[in-house]
Amino acid sequence: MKPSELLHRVRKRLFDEVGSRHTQYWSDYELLVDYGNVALDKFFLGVRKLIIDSNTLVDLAGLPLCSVSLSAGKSVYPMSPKIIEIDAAQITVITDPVNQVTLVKPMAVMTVGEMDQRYRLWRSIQAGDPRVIITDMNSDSLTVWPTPELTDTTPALLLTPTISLTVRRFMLQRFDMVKSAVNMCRTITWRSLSGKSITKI
Amino acid sequence: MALTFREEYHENLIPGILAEAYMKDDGETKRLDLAAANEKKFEAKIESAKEDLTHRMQVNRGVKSRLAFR
Repeated sequence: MKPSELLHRVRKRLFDEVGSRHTQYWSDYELLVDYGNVALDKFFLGVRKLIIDSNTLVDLAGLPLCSVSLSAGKSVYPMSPKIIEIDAAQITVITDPVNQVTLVKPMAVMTVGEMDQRYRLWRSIQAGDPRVIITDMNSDSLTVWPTPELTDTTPALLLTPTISLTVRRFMLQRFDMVKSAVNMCRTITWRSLSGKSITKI
Repeated sequence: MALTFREEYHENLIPGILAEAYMKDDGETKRLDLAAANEKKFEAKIESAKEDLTHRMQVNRGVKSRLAFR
């Protein structure tokens, strides 16, 4: 439903349409922005479900919502507390630094318990090509396994891989109804290392 | 992949907006009885959407994840 349709239906219920016998008692701004945002907040708080939104790349604290830039030797990365679920993840690595050839691979998303069940010796594997994201709901962090490693022959900058996440998150920020209507209908866009969209699903 | 929050739920906001509108502190607009009635309808819609979304997430869940409720 477009904001204009929503406004029309609200006014109809309020008997506050243009051309009715009295002057309009509520402005468009009041109905759509003021009251609409209150209703949206209540709805999201009540439903406790989220929209999938990879358009917002950082949250209010500046943490990336949908991308993680990996560093060699580092396995634990902060995750925005607004994210409550990771639907999917894929890693982009540069396989040929000279010709800028990239490879995109899906990653598994698991909990520590699932890792213990599936890979009993996973803790003993220290470094390698990252294949799994291990989420930690208590510390708002994610662990990349195995820990990305740095080879001796290639500059670190060129080997820095990026993980793209498809997430579900709480909508904590007030926003206007026009933007929300657009965002809610938008498809997910993966982002490459350069920030350009590479795939739409 | 389907969006979790779909346009079809926008309609759920209508009673919520009406409840707020009838709370407007003005002689011509303030109707606490209608505000309460719409608030009740809104709560029912939230419950309904919650059940629907929970069902949808359980059906469509592709990978394990963090808690959906907390």
